[in-house]
Amino acid sequence: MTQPPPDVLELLLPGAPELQRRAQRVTTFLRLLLHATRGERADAIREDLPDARDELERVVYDRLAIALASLLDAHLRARLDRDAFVVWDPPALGHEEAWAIVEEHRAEVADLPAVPGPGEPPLEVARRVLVSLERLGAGRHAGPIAAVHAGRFARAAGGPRAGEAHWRALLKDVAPSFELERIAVAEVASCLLDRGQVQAARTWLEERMHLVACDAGLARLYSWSALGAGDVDAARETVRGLPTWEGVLPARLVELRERRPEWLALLPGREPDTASGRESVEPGDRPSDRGDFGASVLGVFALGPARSAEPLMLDVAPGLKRRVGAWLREGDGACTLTRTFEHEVVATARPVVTHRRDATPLRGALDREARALALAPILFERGEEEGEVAGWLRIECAHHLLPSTERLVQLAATWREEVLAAAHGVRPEADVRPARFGHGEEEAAVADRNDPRVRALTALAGELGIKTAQRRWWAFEVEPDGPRLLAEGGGALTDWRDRPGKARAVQRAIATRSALFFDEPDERLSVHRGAASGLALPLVRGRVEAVLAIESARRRDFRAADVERHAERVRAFAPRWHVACFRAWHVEHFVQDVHIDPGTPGDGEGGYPLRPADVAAACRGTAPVAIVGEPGTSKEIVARWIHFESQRTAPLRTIPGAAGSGGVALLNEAPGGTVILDEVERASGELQEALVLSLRSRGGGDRPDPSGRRLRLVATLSMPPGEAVREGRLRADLGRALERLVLTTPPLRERRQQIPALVDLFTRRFADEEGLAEPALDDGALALLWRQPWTGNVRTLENLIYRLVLLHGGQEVGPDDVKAVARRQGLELRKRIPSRHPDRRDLIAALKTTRRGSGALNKTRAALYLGWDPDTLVARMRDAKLADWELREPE
Amino acid sequence: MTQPTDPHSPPGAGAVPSHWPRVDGPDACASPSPRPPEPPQISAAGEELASLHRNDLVGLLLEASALRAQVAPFALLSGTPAALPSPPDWTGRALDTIDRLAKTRVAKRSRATRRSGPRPVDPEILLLLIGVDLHRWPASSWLARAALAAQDSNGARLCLGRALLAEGDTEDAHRVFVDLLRRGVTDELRWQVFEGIAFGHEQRGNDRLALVACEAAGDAPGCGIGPLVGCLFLSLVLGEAGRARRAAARLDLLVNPDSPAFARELAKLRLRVELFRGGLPWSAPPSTAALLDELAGGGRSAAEEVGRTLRGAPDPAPREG
Repeated sequence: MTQPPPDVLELLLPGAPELQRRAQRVTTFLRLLLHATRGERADAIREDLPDARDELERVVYDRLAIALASLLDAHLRARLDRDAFVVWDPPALGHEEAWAIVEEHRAEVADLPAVPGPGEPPLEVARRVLVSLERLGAGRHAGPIAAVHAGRFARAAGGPRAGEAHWRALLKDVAPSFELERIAVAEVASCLLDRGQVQAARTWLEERMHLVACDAGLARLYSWSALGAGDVDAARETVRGLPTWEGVLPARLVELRERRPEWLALLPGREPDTASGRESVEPGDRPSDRGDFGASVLGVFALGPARSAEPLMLDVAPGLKRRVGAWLREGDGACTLTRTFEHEVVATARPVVTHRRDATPLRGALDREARALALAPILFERGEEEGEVAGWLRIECAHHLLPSTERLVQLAATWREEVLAAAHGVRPEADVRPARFGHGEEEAAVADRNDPRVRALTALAGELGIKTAQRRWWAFEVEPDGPRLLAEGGGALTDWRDRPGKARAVQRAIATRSALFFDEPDERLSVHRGAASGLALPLVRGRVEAVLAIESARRRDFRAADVERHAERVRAFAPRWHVACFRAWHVEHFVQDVHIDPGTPGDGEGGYPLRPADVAAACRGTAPVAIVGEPGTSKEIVARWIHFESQRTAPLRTIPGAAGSGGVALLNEAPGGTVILDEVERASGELQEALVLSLRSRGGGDRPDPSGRRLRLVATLSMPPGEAVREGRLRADLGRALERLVLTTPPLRERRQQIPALVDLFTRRFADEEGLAEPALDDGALALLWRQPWTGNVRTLENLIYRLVLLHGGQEVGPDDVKAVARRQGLELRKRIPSRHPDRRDLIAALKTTRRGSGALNKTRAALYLGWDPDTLVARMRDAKLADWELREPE
Repeated sequence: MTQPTDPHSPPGAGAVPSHWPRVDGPDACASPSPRPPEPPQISAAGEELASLHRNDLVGLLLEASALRAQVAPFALLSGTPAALPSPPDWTGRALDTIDRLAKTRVAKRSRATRRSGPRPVDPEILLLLIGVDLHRWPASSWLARAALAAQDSNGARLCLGRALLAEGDTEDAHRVFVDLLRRGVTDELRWQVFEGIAFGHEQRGNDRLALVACEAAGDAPGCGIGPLVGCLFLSLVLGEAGRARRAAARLDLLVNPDSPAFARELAKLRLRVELFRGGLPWSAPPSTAALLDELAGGGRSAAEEVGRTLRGAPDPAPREG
């Protein structure tokens, strides 16, 4: 006889006095029954009660395990930065839902984690949750879930090295299931890729390719490692046919995808959420070990004085150590050379990243095998130099998986203190007086408009052909303590003194010795705060001597082609600038402007036949120099020029050759520096002897003399030293000493092209000195002056112009006026240059002097200057068979 | 024996809810007269017999699935099945099984327990197939799922994976195969699982992962001929001469070139190249062209047979066995 079945509810709800627990158990039991009706757990229901209870428990623990795992995933992800290779599946449950499940079961399951407190760090929360999960999983199938998350916790807490060690130990000690092995292999590969150990990750996966074949996530990791190593074919083959992945891509791969769009298909996935991942760097993140990035070179550099890069930390692969010294020397001053990465990072104050595209090594890389290179700037944060580059972090890798630029900049910033301390150049606290830029009240500090440099720069601004209605230009001279405004012009942005920008573009042009431009408003870069675009053009001659800044009220007013063209003209202007500097110095020291025109080196056709090599040789050392020329050919000015070029800070003393014993005294008292001995062939024997003794004891040598104690002799003569010796005017030993370096100043008749400039110079000078208006010489007057023989050279011309200014100040001056003044001076002016057998040089000089602005020859005017009719000129040109190159302007 | 009543069921309903545990046979519900209880030994024997019959039915369904897979669109990629009966043989066995089940009390018990016990295998399913042309059978994967529902086993899952491959559903097939690896399989099944994974990759155009999976199959003890042939062929496709040589050496070591099974694999290879690789004669990439020439011009080893097949040599005479 069968017994009636007991009440099912009584069977399953014994000893549960609390209503809530009873209700909970009923609910759970009904849930079980629901499973049973679907046929999923029918077996369990048919079993006896203990098994039913076990089933109940298993469901609860399963649910809790999933909830705790979801919480762990969320908190651990928050600890990993956006560059990390995370191949975890998305959490099964949302944050709130997971905590709700934990709360639901808190009464019946012990040791569940408490809800996070305010501000509790994610890692602490994760630690508590993991402990609960491990207790929950002990002896149950939640155990493997706990093991997986313990590994992930190790990575989040200790970094990829710690994570990798944990997973390797697990694989070694435990015979894992297929699933656990798959996860562990993926985690190790991820940790290796996090550290840039691309080849190691690839090898790790190649040894487990049977798992790669089974799992799309592992296939993706392998593909990324192959891509990072530059093996695009293998990367492509590995993911062929796999479903397109829509997960989150590490930030570094997103950037790689942007830089190499041809790899788009190999790098599918979403960008990481900007709010996800760890943003800040921690003390342990400071880069000092290139192994943390899989790099072959890791270095931190400070931008030192003279724009040199001073290495503060440099970790290189062993195979590259031998090249480090040479590489540092080659790269010294690289930030001043265009097309180097150092230049780009200093000029833009932004990270520079580049990836190799073919077999050509990356420019300037220490590691010739590097596939990727990055420089992350370290910026000043305060003071006048805020936002400027104080140094940079440099990384070179033999793979493409560089950290993202955001991460690199964060890492670079951990070296800021040391870099700022080491950066000697423009300090944040430097006293960069705004008045130097012409701001504020010190407008008087702006140079005089008659300053030759101001005139030269104004002429340059005009020659650039820029329309000034919407623009303004400034010219700054670069002095040791900063740029100083010399000249300005233009129709726009006139209130720049009231609205000054930080003028960083000028600073950067000085720092990098190259042109810079900006095409959007940036008050850090511009001289005028409201400028919408602008450019800065440095004038470089050895060092940056001046900067021309041009700004516009319109955006994008300067195209790259314009910048290049202007920069080229500024470069070509450098010699004229240098002459202007000499003239300004001459005015300062001798109260007199001069004309000096280097002209075409060596051709002797109207220009100074002062070959740059000769001048450079004269300036380099302190060997005596002889300047030979007819009287009145400005030998003393050339001598002063040599002093200016070589040791302008040392004393300069001029001793006339006829000084006699007084000259000896002057010579012996000279403390060093340059002594110009004028007309040395007229010096007495005593003076010549004293000269020889001085040369022996204090002079001579071809090496530079930075101390300035040596005596540099520059002697002027009206004949070559050898001839003076033969004529008995010069001691033989003195003649020999002077013959070592001889420069010749040609007579004015051999450099007629300079006559118009000399006339202009003297006219201005004398008008200024005498307080008169300048006379205006017409072309006929000028031509008349041009064609004279000038046996007295520049001096005679100077005297004539002086009289012209006195007599005709402020008037139009024609040829008759010139003749009249010359007659008073006792000069007989010739009407023409002899045309029968003219000097070839005169023909060429006439054609060059009268060339049109476009460069075309003006034969009519040339004939006027020669005093001929045009047909005669044409005939003489034909006879002389002038070549095109003879008439070409010097470049 | 009084009839148990359900205190929660409406009065006069009489029927016992199906989810209630049974302490008596289901017929006790339908029949008003009580039945005497069976002795325990008889019950145990009955359960055992029911299990055996279930096994027979599931086995027939799996064979049906495999037979159906042979005529599915991508049949040649579905792997190396165990020896299959011919359709007439299968039909005869199915009829016998149906007949046997119909005559036994156990069959009645099985029918009666279908509502409350494990999902039964309805022998009538087999009747759907008997007398119907093979091409008109339900899909191979459907048949495999029916068998799987009746009795979950790794063998049934493997059969399902192959069925999905044969039908061209490579993604679901891949999931089934990987799930098998997660569950843990014997060596005998392991190589077949990796063979299936390899075919799936090859079907999707990923020869590299296909080769890797083939090699994993080849490394498993008791590996069949299919993966060994696959390793050689895919190595040649990818231009990996070193791997191809190793695969050739292994093939020669393990496979008798005269075996009918090898002949079947060569036939499958021939079809595979004709359908998916541009036809015969097939050309290897430059890095493995010389090796293919060497194999095709050699003697009669298994690897050389593969070489000649790829070069378009005619199908040799059928082998006995």
